[in-house]
Amino acid sequence: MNGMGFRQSNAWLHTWVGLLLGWLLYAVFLTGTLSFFQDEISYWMKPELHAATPGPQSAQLALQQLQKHAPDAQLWQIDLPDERDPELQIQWFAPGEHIGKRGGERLTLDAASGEPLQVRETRGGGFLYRFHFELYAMPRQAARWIVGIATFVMLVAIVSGVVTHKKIFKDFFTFRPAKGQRSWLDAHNATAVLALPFHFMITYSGLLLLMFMLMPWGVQSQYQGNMQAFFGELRSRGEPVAEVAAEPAALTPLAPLLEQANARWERGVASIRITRPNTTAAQVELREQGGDSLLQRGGAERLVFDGVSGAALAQPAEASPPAASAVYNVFSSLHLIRFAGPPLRWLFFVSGLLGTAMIATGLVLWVVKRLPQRLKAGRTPFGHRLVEVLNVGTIAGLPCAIAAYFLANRLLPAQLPGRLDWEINAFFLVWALCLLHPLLRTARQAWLEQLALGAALFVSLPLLGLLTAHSGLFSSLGRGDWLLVGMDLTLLATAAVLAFAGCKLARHQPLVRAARPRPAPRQKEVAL
Amino acid sequence: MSDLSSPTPWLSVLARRRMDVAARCLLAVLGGYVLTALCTASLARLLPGEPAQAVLAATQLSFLIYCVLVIWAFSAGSALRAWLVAVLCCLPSLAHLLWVEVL
Repeated sequence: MNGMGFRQSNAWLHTWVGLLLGWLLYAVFLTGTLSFFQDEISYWMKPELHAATPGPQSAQLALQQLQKHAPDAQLWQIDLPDERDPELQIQWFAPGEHIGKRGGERLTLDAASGEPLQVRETRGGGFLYRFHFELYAMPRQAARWIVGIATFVMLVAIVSGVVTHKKIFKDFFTFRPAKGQRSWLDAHNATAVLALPFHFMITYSGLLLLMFMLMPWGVQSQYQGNMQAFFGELRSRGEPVAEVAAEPAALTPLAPLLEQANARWERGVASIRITRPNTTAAQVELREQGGDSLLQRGGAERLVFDGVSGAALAQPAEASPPAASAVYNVFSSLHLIRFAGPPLRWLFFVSGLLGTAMIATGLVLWVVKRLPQRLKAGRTPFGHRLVEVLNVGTIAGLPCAIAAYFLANRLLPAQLPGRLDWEINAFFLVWALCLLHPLLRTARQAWLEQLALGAALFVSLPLLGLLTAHSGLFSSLGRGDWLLVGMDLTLLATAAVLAFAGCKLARHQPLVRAARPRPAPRQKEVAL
Repeated sequence: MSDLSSPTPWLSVLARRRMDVAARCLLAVLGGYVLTALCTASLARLLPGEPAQAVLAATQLSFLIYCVLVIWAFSAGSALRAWLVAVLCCLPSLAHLLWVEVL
């Protein structure tokens, strides 16, 4: 920029680019961070599942239900309970039906007795996951473009933010608490630097996951825009299994096959897929619980058996991917984190929260930085007020909305028609109110009230659980259901953080004595 | 630097500064995307290896190219210089694409 050095122009870029999309990025980061625990959240949101403890006989029970409901289906699928998702689910496709992600018939079973369960309708953690890259009630493509642009802006903000900080290492060890603007800047720097590799990785990999939509010009030039030809070559998928003549035949017992698989795989079996069950052409495919190779996109290993004799069938070995594919696989599997066990998952979760805090402190810093200017002028420019209102309504409002979503899940009657939509309506209703509320209050009041509301909502969730038969903290502790325990403790911790922020703010003396002479800012400091 | 202080009878300093920022924004948003698209299309054909791998590598690189262009748009000495250098850097890509497509 004219009259600015390289670092100053980057600081300018960082400030304005960050402000422009900060609120959207905050929402994407927060809901995306929660999506690391998407399955766990979904499980928490289905209290009907909490009573059953899965045993070793789950596969057999599921098979009995499939024999009962769909003896002549073309495909059976059994999703076994695992450590992240203790749900036992069966799915089948009628003969001639197209086999895809959607479609087919599904049933959720009680993992202990094998009886079908009536689970309340909910989108669970899937809603937050979808929201973080497709928003809601928008054309999917348009929403993905908006999030994609915001993600690119985030990449620019990260790179320009790094350039701005000459003393990036020193800044990390600098925290000056209770110093107003300084503290906000230090908090922004610390949260940014602490998890910088994570921030860069999650932003860049987010872009890669949307790259053929955002930047289709490479495919356009090499393949004349024929995406199918490109993906076909890239993945070189095998041909679908040809139709074979099949006579009725009894299915091989599953127990010995599961034994073989469990001996081979430390994490156990995730799912069982049986094609053309009860015929001579039957095949049983077992899939490993979460793979751990980043180069293969965390892909799981598979074992295939003859469905009548139970003999193991040879599998083509997976070749290691070429360099560009390997880079893509590593980044995308780090983003989707399907492979990770609890410690790594929690590390990602905390890093994601740090990223969310980085965006939030950056937004607050923009306002705090301009307070002296406002006091001097004796009036609040419209733009400053707008940022202030959006800050409260997003930074404090979105957690309130998420709590409302969880609360609606517990409070809405299980049989309510359109229940699934009402949970989501509760989310947006509360968020909309939180965005309107700061218009009627001073910024300080609005912050205090929304932080208090958030804390109250979050603490009410585990308390409500105590009233239920199987979903309360003590009951899940007694059963050793660590997913539920973890979720309840996280909700309590969230309430504590919001309450702590509220208390800090309540004790904070607002900046009114502007008349007191302040030391002139040092020349070396970069204007943010 | 000197642009801001020199007397400009037909445009105020503020207006000149706004024009400058607007020109840089235009480069960062639209120009940057078009230039990146050109580089990506060209690299997708230039990079070694199988075609699909070259496309994948070029597309993955594209966001880094775009990011550098955006930062350059705002750190160059003047908007004019920012545009000129950016276009010059992408000319080889354009030439390559023209050579492949037309000739």
